[in-house]
Amino acid sequence: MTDTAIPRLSALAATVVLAAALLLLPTAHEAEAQSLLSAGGLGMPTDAPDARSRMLGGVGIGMSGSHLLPHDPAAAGRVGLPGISATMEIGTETPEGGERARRTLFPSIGVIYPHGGNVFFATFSGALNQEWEATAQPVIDFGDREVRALDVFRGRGGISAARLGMARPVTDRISVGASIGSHVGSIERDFRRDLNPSDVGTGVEPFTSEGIWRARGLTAVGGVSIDVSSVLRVAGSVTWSDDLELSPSEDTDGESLRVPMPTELRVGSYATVAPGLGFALSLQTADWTGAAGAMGDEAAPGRVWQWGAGLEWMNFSWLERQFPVALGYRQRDLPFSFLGDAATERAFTGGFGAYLSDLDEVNPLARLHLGLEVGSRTSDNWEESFFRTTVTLRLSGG
Amino acid sequence: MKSRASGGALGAALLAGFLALQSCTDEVPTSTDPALIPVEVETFEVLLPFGDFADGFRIDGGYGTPSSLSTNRIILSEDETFEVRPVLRYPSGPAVVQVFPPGETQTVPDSNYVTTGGRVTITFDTASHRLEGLPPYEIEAASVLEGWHTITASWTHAVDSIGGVVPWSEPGGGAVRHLETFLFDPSDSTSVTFELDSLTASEWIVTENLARGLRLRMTEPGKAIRISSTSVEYDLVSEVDPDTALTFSGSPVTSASTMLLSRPADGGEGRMLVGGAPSHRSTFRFQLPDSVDAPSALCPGDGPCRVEVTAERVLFAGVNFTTMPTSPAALVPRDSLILDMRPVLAPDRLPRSPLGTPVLPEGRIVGGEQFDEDGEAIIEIPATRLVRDLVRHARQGGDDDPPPSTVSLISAAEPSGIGVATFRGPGTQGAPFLRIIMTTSDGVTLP
Repeated sequence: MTDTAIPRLSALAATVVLAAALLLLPTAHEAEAQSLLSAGGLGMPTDAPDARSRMLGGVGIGMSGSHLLPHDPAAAGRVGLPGISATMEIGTETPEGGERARRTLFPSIGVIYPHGGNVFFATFSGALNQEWEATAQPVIDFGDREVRALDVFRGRGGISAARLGMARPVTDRISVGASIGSHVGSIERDFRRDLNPSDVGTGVEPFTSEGIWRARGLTAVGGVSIDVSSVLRVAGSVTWSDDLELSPSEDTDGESLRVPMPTELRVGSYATVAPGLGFALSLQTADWTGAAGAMGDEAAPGRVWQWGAGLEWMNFSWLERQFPVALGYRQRDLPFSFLGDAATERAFTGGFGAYLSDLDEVNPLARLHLGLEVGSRTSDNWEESFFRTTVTLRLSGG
Repeated sequence: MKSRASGGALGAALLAGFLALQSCTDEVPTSTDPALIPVEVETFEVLLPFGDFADGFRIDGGYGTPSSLSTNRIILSEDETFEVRPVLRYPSGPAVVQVFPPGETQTVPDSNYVTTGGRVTITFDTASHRLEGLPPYEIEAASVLEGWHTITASWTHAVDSIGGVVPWSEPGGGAVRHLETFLFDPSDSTSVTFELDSLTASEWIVTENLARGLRLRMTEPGKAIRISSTSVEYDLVSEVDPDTALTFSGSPVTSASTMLLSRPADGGEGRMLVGGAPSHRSTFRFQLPDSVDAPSALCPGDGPCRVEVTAERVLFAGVNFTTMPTSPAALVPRDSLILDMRPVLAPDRLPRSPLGTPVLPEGRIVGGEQFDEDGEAIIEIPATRLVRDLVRHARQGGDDDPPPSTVSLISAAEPSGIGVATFRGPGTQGAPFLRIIMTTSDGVTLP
């Protein structure tokens, strides 16, 4: 066995194990659980879909090295080995004075394959998520007596984007990429009212109503990544989406709803400000006015912004392996209102990477990043804290 | 190089697997703020009078027989218009008895023994709530002289079966031979024993004698008492050894006794009867309306409006019956009874239609006092699923057989006692009504 065969074997074995582990994971639709703030509109947009971006407070674009990121297609142009990248997150949300809810998300998975000077890739990433429940205990007046009831409304859904794309380096310093695909997923809502049997009598049945709307809509991303110098990279991308068509399922009453989706702009940069010390800064903006209007959200903020920045220390090693560590901060507006008020999310971020096996500087074989975020989401009438752990595993082989 | 690379990659994969396992318990964030529920819901109650939800009312009787009851009662009403007389058939004697011939040490069978007399012991239920009228109770015991059939005997007939109809020579047990009139006082004892003469004992001990039986009768009006148990003891003398005196005792099995009721409970216009012995059934057919009056909150403008009745909207449906005093008062149930409402599977075969499973599996327990002079109450039998099924089939049809729309209100056991539950019938104040709780909503929508 030659030396070059060694990494092939390890990557293949790990890929098989990783694939098996991923099969055990709930799908994006099953595993979603979100903040109550996801009750607004189409839900809460999925944040940067990888752990390294999150630990640097970024929006998922413009980082050093080579990557497979759904909203930074040009970054794939620098990838030299086929591979797979998958991210999952575990988090908790704790409303002020409320109970903590735990959730799991599976923000993205991607496959990449360089061939003939081009790099082909496929990504499946979360876009919008909803998982929430509201209860009420109305007392119904029947004139001669009162009847207690329990109302439960549950909203859940996951809209993801499946895209195929291609990227290629244009010069040594410039890479471009694009992908196209479709939004997929559904929004599900159900309502149930139970009357208290002790107020009504035995044999009381619940009232239920439910609806499922399937989501479809074209989406495409184009981007460019430029190494301005050996210590500075800048990148930008545009994510365009056609109207999201929400079609009621066979058992659901009503007409299809077309929701205009915003064009999202992302820019990001990564500068090596000192030997082993990187600084990342990124920004994202999108105008959700049309989507909010279609969803009847009159108090939505319209154009929303997200920005974040972080420092990455690359010179830490352990067991002869590089373990970069990072700290950052980010802030974003949420596109839909909650109980009539716009909300903002803020978080301190951090984390570390584990470069388990690298062929060379731009061709990692096995890397793991773990991002941690501690933050809050606030509006005029709501406050909740959250903690999130994100793990991205990237495996490559020759 | 190899071990590091593969070990690291596998370690990473294992970490991913561990995290995957950690992800198995999601919790849904929940708010108690009603403002977050984007569904307009209105729940209201509708009371439908009998004519608006049912028709085809009828009362049938004759289900079961008093002979299947485990206890017997002796009743004479205050106005002497109603009477219950138990008729008890004790076991006959043995075909042979084993006796020792004089001087012998081995027994021999003796089929020619002589019955010289005997005694009857009757134990009464002395629980105070089961006694009516002030003690002592004067009870006449007499021997039945006409052949009678334990299962079909009634006040007027000794036999009333498919095989033949034989009336008593006089109602209430026919001609009898007086045995004893005794006073029973619960403060003195719980039982009474009286002697049988040799003639009566010798008649009762003969298996083939279908006329044998003891008839009991209350002699003073306004009194009632219940028999807990009874037994007979025959005195025998052996023909093989006339100096050998023997006794043989036994108690009548349940099916060997019955009660003769001088008349059934008052039915007729405006009354629904349930239970008794033989039992009554009150039957009607659901004819549910397509729509009901909506509460004003649901109506646009000031005018009244209607709401369509659909299965999904019906959260609860219960048929309400108003109790009324049972007549004669002696037939007011002395114990709780269980009411059952059952679908009639073949209405065209009434009163002999088979019934389906109970609408309310556990039945509805009703205290007997509800049917007393001042015991008016409303008894509700929940029937939500039945009503939902009927509405669903009426609206949607389908190839499935329609659910039975005719139901009978019965006592869970037929008979469970001679007591009869009486309710106000259709066409009267307090007639049955259907209580429906409905919920209307436009349902969940987008946005």
